[in-house]
Amino acid sequence: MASIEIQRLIKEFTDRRGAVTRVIDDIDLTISGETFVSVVGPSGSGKTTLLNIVSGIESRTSGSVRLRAGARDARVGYVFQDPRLLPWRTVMANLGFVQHERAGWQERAAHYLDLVGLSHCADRFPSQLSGGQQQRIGIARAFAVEPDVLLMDEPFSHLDAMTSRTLREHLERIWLESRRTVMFVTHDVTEAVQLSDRIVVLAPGGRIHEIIDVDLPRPRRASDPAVAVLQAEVLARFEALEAMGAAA
Amino acid sequence: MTTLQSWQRRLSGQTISATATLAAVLSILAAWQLAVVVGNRVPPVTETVQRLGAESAAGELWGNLAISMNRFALGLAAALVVGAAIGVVMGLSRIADVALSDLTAAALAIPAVIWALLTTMWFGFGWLTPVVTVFLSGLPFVVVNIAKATRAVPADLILMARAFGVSRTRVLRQIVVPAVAGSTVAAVRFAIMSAWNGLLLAEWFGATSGVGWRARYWYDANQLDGFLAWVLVFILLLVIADLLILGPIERFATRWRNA
Amino acid sequence: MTQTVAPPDTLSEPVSPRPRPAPGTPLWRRRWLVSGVTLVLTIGAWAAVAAWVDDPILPRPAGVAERVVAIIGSGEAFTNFAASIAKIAAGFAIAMIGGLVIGFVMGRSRFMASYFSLPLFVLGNMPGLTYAVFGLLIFGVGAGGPIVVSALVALPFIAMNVAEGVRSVDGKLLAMCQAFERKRSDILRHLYLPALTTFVFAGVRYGFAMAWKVEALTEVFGASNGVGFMIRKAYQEFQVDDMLAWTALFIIAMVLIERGLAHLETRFFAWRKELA
Repeated sequence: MASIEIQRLIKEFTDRRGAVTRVIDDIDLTISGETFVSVVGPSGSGKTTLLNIVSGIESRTSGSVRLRAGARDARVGYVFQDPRLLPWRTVMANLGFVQHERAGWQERAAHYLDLVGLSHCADRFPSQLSGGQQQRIGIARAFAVEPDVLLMDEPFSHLDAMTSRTLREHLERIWLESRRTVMFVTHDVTEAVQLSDRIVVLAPGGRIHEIIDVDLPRPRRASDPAVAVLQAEVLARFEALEAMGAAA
Repeated sequence: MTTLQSWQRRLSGQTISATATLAAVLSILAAWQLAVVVGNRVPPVTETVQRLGAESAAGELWGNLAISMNRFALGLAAALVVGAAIGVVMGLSRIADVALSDLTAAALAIPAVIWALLTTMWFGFGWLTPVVTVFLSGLPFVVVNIAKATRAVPADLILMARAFGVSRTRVLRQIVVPAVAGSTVAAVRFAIMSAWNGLLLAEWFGATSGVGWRARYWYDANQLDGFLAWVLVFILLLVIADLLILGPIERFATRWRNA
Repeated sequence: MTQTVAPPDTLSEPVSPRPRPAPGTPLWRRRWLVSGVTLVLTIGAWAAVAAWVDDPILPRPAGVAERVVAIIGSGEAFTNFAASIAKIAAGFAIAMIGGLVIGFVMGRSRFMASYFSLPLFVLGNMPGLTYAVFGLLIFGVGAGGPIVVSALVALPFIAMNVAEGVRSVDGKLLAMCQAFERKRSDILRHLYLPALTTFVFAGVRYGFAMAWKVEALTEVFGASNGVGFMIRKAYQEFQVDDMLAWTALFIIAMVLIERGLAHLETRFFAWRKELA
């Protein structure tokens, strides 16, 4: 069973003048098993920094982060806000690149490419695809490594509403097929409600404000009234939090 | 577009360009013949080619070519090594870039003839003159293009690869190298063009062997067919080096951009 | 604190905002400072080597500076630069006409594009020596050589940029014009001209940089005035300080003109920057 264990994590930035800003303030969080967890928060709450530290892209000031899959280190898949595909290699080669081309990579690549509906693009170059298609490849790529833990950093924030909606459906479908531990950062609370099992709300200053459990059945449709009701509720609490932060 | 259609398009495109290039070469030869008739002492094509053959028979062609190539290779290698070092530093460090960019712009503006004349004065008729001229002519072009190449390294893609646990070697080979390949080839191309120019001038003014010197020999002797024969050699080398070798290499290195 | 194993390949440095110059220092002043210091250091190194060599064959920077002032003061700088620039301008005028015609034809016809590509390549890449000697042979000593050489060197850049500009004209816009039966001259004015000006300007900038140097070289071989001629004169009289003085003036002039053209391009063509 895979898990993300964050213990007493603190992250501080020191600027040129020596002023210290604490971006992550003593966070304890454990995400384990086949759960889809979203991390939301107003800007300045450190959610992207948190993800970067978990993935190892950024260093931490103190505290610990462990990504485990049973006894070994977890294999990580990452989806960025922008697709970040190697422009000089085909789609298929891109999917092979992150798998270190280990045994069976072509089958896995083909399988996940099919799941996002882009099998016909396998031999194209990224520049020949639209933004939405590239982002779908990015998602397929992260799944193709068959990670124990999947980290996603606002993957749909740069896309238009229609494309985002379609991609959310793709994402949920793939996830249902091969459930993994997912940590999904987003600024869009309604998106978090639609996709996650749990929502971690960060407050400005980098502390956990609350954790909300989402008990709705899957697969979820955006048009489902139950989803809408919960979205409204969570949104209200979120706006209250933002107001608090603005007043602070 | 089906595969057959794209093949047909490519083939017809190649036929067009082959025919057109042939037509161009014929036009140039025709214009040359016209110049022979109309102009004053312009040596005709046949005589020029004959002279080239004679030079080759006398051993002057390949001997001088070899000497010039040696000098060229030496100076160019130095320019590439030193220029790459400076270029990388400029690409990585903002301060170095600001500090050196005006100097580089000035160096780019210096006509190669100045270097040729100065080195002739300083180093006389030895091998140092052409080699130093080649080095100084090519250096600024290498610096500018390698700096560009260094800045072209895509930090976001490298981060992506590290997030997926890709090893440093693979990052280097599969991300850094393709990203900088285009600018690096451009660096080499521009350096070669400028360095070749410098070599010819240096050998014209201050050498006792080499292709530049040999061309001057005929010019001084007022034998224009000999001079023209060597001009043909210059142009041929140019065409082979840039059009047939480096150009395709650069297009290969950047083909993903036009996919 | 327990430092546990993070996922593979942890990068050590944090992603922090890029260092900015201390607030209060205008950016432009800082640039000049750093650049100026480097320049001073380079000249210092030059002075040191010149002092060590101690021979008129490597003049000291002070000596060269003196000559520069003298050349400017005596009016020689102005007359000769004016002469050289006049020749380049004349050459450019010819190149523009030729380039517009050839480039237009190249942009509209694939056969023509291939036809001209080899000759233009040769013209654009021919070693300066060849140009200079031919200039002398054909036009003798005088302005003819430098003018024609400038024209020939600039021609390929202008032609190719014009061709690009013509190709960039949206085929659909063209069809629209034809559908509304606009006259040919109107199409030229309203469709091609705006597209062309950006590209032509880029061609002018790059062509100028190349032509300047070959023109000066041609003057070294066969002219009776101009910057190249003065350099040759200094060389023949073994006046290295004069050679360096004229070179310095040449560099400054060229860099200034280059910067001027770049500035113009930004001001007038910023709206089309993504095409240029």
